[in-house]
Amino acid sequence: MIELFLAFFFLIAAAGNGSFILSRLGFVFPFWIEELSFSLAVGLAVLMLLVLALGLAHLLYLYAVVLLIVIWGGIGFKQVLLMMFRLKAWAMKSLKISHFKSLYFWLVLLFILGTGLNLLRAMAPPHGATDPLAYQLALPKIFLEKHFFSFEPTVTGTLYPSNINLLFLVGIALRNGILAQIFHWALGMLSLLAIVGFSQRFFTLRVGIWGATFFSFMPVVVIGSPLGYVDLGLCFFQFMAFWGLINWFEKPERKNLVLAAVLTGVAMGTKHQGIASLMVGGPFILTIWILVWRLGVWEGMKNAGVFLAIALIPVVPWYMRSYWVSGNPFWPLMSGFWGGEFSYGPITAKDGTSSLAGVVGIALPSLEWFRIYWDSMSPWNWTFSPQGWQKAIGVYFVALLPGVFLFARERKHYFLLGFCVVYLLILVKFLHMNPRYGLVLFAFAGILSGLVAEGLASSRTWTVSLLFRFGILATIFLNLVWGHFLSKSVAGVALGAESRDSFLQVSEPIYRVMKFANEKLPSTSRILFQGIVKGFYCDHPYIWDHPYQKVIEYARLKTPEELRAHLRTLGISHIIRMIRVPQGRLNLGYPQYFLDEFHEEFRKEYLQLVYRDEYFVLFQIKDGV
Amino acid sequence: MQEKEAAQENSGELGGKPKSFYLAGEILILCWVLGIFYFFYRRQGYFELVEEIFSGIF
Repeated sequence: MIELFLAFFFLIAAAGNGSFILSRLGFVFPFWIEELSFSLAVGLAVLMLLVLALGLAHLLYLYAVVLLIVIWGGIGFKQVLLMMFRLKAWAMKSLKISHFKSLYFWLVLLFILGTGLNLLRAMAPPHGATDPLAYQLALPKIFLEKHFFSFEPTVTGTLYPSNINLLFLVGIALRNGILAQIFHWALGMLSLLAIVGFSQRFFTLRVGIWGATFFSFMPVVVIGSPLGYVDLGLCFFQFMAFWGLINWFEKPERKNLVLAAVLTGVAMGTKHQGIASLMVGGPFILTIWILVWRLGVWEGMKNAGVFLAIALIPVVPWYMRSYWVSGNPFWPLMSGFWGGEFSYGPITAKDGTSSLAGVVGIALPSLEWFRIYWDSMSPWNWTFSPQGWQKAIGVYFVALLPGVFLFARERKHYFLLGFCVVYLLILVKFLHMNPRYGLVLFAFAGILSGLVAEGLASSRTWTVSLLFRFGILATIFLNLVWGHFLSKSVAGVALGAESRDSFLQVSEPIYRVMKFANEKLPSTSRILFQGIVKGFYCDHPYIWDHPYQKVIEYARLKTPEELRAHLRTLGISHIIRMIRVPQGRLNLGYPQYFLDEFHEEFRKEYLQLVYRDEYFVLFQIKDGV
Repeated sequence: MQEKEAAQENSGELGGKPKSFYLAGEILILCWVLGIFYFFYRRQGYFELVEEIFSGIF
């Protein structure tokens, strides 16, 4: 529960800090939800950039992080008080007892209930999903231990732009991985706030409430938001960047363009997939300037150039770090083009994106390409037969979006529809056809669906309105039932009825062997993971043994003696091995270690069993260093 | 603007199209929406979850 309070105060501090900066720069917003959304985005962006500076300066010490947060939060303290007075005034004015009879009041209450169930899962110790335990939470922990952004050559994501991981780093520094998970969940909540605020500004508040409801119940959001992923952070900053651009279109002042550009840069620094914001933002500015306002090509290019230059500022430190280490600023993308010592990558696309020619080629799809990949990219399949939870978008978009053709009656409706179509193509062509990487599309598609929902719910034919409202409430009830099932196994640990240690011993298979290693092995131990990548719970230095790393290349090692000598040079003293490597990992190129002749020969000669459970073994290397 | 809309309503038109066009459209969309909802939640096994909860209660 302490984590919950910390996260709450942290968000208040972010809002205060952002509000302070925006008010000093002369920004005035017509609605308080809009002001709050931009304040939170700016406040969090400032914190991430400050932590980035700390990491680059080798100052990632607890005292430095705490000092930074005190100064960062203190700057906006006065603004927080002002915002609280305004919030109170708004609540006194707007919240009336008659609202309890409103469908929209209940919609808000129900989606808050749904996100509350997600929060319950965020309050359980990190477990289950691979990516957070392998690098999104594991790398910040390593950075804190080493006090800078070290390069971990075997760990996926070690050179990715990682702004959200910096928030996780703060969470882990102040408390633990649970606080980091709550930060990710909170970024999902901020996305909902932004959806409501954007709709209030450009459509209606009711449309926003519908949109937030649909977005909040997407299965990918329900499952992903309480975990230590970064995608809801990406969604929030991309959404705010696009909103900033539309504000600039509404009121073409330079400061609006600068704000949009900074938020675009922060989104790009969140994850490589954030580059899509630039892919949309740059052409948007050119189109508006040249074709809509007809103010000349040169001026349009100049404004797009300013946007690009400012957007690069927040992300350039990440690119420079990556270039410095690997020779490729976008590692592991385009490795074929950039080359370099670590010119490989676990997610190098199989369809040719690793070279510049490939990137150009992939932008021009053929009909054959669409035929082959249709199952992977069709929203129908993402709804009814998604390949994994990351692609599960839920029912609302396929059900409601066809109604756009009936209810879209204004130019801005068609503009939003056009944006969604363009971003869907980007998602399909450049973002691995994975909705998790393009959640911002669904945030805007939620608003579009909200338009349709509002049209049906406020139909003048009362039977249409009633049946629709009944149908929607039934779906929300079913979603809540599912949410209940997802969260009931963690309720005990989340609410303090079960200890975190005993929960993890049952719920996270790798926890027991890591706990043993942390408690029993000498502090000088260095561990090789075989068949495993989840290092979050390991307190000793470690490296992965996955097929893409170049630190241990078994093909170059002819004998067990050579492997022994190589491990000695790496300082490896112990090995934690998965007893039975699953088929999925074998397909990636992992060996089945206990059936592999070379590894068996090495084991018999050099490995001594120290620990075993039903999933993992821990070996000490004989005569270990 | 309001006068224009009121005049359109009285003439049985909305946005240049007859009101019956929108009514038919709304009914069509409603049928699609409810059908998709039912198909989705049945196929994804949500009804079994509800049954499980209620069988536990009763």
